Amino acid sequence: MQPAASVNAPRGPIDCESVVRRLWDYLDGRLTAMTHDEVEAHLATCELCPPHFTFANDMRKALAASPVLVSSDDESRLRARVHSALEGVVAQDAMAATGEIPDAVESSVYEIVAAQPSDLPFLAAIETAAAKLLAGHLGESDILEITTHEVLADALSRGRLWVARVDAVPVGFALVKVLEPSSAHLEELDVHPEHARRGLGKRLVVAVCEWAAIQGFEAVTLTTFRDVPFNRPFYARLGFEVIPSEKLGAALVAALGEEARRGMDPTTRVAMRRPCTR
Amino acid sequence: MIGDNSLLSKTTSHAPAIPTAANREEFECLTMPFLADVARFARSLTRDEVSADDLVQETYLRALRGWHTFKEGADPKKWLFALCHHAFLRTMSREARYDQAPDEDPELESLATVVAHWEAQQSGVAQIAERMDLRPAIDSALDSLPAHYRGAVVLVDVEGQSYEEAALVLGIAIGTVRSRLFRGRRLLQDELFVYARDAGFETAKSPSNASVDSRLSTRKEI
Repeated sequence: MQPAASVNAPRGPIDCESVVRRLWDYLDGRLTAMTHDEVEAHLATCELCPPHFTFANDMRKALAASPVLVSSDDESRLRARVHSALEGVVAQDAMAATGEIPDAVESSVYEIVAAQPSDLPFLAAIETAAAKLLAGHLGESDILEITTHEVLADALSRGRLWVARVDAVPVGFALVKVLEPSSAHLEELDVHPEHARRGLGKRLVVAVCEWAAIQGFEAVTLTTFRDVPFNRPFYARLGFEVIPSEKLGAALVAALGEEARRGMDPTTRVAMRRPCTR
Repeated sequence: MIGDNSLLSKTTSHAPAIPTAANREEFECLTMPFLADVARFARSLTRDEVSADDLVQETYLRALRGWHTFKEGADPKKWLFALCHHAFLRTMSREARYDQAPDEDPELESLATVVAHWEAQQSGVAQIAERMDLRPAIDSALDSLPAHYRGAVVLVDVEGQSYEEAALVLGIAIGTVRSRLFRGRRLLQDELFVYARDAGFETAKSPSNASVDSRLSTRKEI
């Protein structure tokens, strides 16, 4: 018996391969009415194709039924957590805007630790506040230009971000990039002005240098202002030496070039290096 | 890559406006009703409750920081999903993130479907669906699905969104959603075959990837 062939349900013109190629579009309802009918007609008479379609469709149904529903307990807990994280962002920004970061109680202990994801929302405010100390050296746009969240998160995920915390709140941070294989580059070092002069900058730099030595880097490098007292002289006291321009590697030349492109006066900037002692 | 049709502003990460208590309230009114949706999406993506909770918090922090970029009248849920998926990919290793598939070729993907079909016929594996409980198998298969494909599969097959909605959330073209989806589903099917074999279904010989790929390699690197 020949299967009935009509204009509306042609079997001949469409073979198994054509049908299977349309499998997902068919199941997702994305075929034109005509093609849809052709596929249906083929499936009605073919012996080989239907199991495959059934399997694919069963998989789709199982996927649709797969999401782990969030229990109401989990939801309330998560809601409270998110709510307080959001409050923290607003409070921290408000404090930074008005300069009202509460004084650290003398007995409070500062700790220098690897950053956690929960530290990230605080770091922009620290950097903005710290950059204001460089007014006169930086253009207004550079004061506003803060390290992006992506850069912070990336450094965090690579273990190249440290924070100084007091009472679990970050008040300073150090961020390292690897610009060239042999050196760790101290890209950013900021301490909130309210917590300045307590040795946090030094402790962060020391933490970075210790880490770099353990990681097997030959040196720690950075770029900084030649004439700002808490810049070059600060790093010089910690064992960094200015790299003469003729000895600059390509990575640092590029870093200084990028600063100049952003509008910093290149004559005020220096690159420094501290060998890792092991 | 964020396409032009993305819900995410390219400037989100630069010098964010400082959120105030007042616009935080507005923000929470519009976004918190979708917390359970975001949490479910995050769990489907991360396949792990602890990471999912971190991802949800990260999503809302990003959302508050970028609230000034939210377009009035837009769908907050889609916007949150877009932020969540973006943050999710950020947590992946560089390798996983840039494990680029032949995204731009849905035709190749539909051809691969055909090859998988032949393989399944030869091994008689297509019949296992009738005998196997797919739920635990699906869970295990999703765990092993590369992050790259999870977004498309989760949005369309788990969340039930259209290709168009998924394209908006993922910030990619509809054709790219289609090919990622097809490939993701095919990888899931392969995993289900492996699961079936490991579970002792006798006729369930896994069609080998090598064989599928070698048939396709004459056309284009897969």
